[in-house]
Amino acid sequence: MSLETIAARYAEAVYELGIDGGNLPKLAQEFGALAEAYRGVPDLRAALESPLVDERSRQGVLADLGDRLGLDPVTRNTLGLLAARHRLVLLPHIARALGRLSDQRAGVERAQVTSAAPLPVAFLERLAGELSRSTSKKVVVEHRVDPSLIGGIVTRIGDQVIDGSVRSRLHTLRRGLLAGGAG
Amino acid sequence: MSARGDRARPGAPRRLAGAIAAALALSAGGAGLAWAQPAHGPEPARPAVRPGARPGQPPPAMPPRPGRPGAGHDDPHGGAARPGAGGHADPHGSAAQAGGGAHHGPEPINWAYGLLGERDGVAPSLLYRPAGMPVPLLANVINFGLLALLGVRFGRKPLAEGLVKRRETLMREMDEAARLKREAEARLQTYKKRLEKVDDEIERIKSDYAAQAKRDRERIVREAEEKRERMRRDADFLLQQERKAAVERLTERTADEAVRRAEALLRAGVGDDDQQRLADEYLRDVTRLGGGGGVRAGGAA
Repeated sequence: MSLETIAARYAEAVYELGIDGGNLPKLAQEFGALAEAYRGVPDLRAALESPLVDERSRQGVLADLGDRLGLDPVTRNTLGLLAARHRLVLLPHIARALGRLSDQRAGVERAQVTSAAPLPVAFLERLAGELSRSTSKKVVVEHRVDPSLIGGIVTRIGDQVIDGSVRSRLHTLRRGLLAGGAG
Repeated sequence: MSARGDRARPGAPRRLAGAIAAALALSAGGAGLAWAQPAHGPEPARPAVRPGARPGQPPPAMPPRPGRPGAGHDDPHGGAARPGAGGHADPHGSAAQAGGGAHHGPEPINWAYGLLGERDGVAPSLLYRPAGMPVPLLANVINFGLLALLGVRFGRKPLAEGLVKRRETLMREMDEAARLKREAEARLQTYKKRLEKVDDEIERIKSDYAAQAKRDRERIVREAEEKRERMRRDADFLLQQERKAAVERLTERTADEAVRRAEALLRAGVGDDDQQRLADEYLRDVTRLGGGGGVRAGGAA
């Protein structure tokens, strides 16, 4: 059984608890933040996954972390359960599946916008508006910068891609040259 | 007789030879016995006995004949009876030794006296004869008859068998020789026939070889032509493939170089205004796509 499948079951459980408790957005946000910290802080990941750390100490670290971040009890209990079952490695997958379930419930479509240079917030809002109009859903834009694009913007929304980058145009130019040479 | 026949039946000749040797021994023994008695050296004062020398005896088988050697001398000891005895009187018979004169004739034949042997002082009779008297011819005849009888008795069957087997051996060898001769003649005829046809055979073989060589030559030429055509096609195909690959490599290299230079120029020349202009164009494209019924996967700018 793959990690995604196992993570999906945990995510569904948390999703149902969030619906029951009415705090699904908060749970999705907390799991997203925890997954980001888990990925971005190697020391934390090593401490939580190391077999040299006994279970009591690991649970203590998680409880202290929950207190400091003010985590929801559902989040705390889920973390404790994952730590007890040595499943903390599923945390990023659970966060992603839970965010997807939460967005589906809220009618939100997330769009990853990548540009070669920073974009003004107003532009991103206009782009989100246009995408919402096109998909008939509320679109939340997540922006990041990638200089390898040279210029232009690439938007990934769901399984669709709108590529307006200069790199893509150069690739098109190369294919055209090869096609012309071959012909 | 061949050696093979001898080896085949060694017993019969041996038996025959043994029988003949026994008969000869008996004959020689009898004769020797008869002859041995007077060979005892000189016995003095042995009276000479001659058939017919005494009155009242049966008529001598060998009457003295006038002119006989020794007969004209009075030899009371019979010394004159020895071959070569001298023609002079010898009262002890010493003159009967070798080197006698040539005036002695052949001794008279003793036909039948003394068949059992000699005995001193006896008158010649059928059983005994005086000492010095020759062996009776009848004894020799009897000995010979016995010899012949023994030979016939013991040697006839082995001799007959040996002869029969010898004959069989000879016949078998003759048959074998005839068979070998027939085979040799048959081979000779075969060789003669072959020799008679050898010229035709040589011509046939030569023509066969020539035809085979012609066929082989045609086949080799045909195969070479096919191979040449196949190699030419392969070479053409390979040449086309190489040319196509070279064109593709050159085109790809040219395109890569063009894109690389374009990218370098763009990276050096794109500024904030260009980024803004590209963003505005992208937004218009998204708007146009949205107006056309929604975004599309992999949509290009």
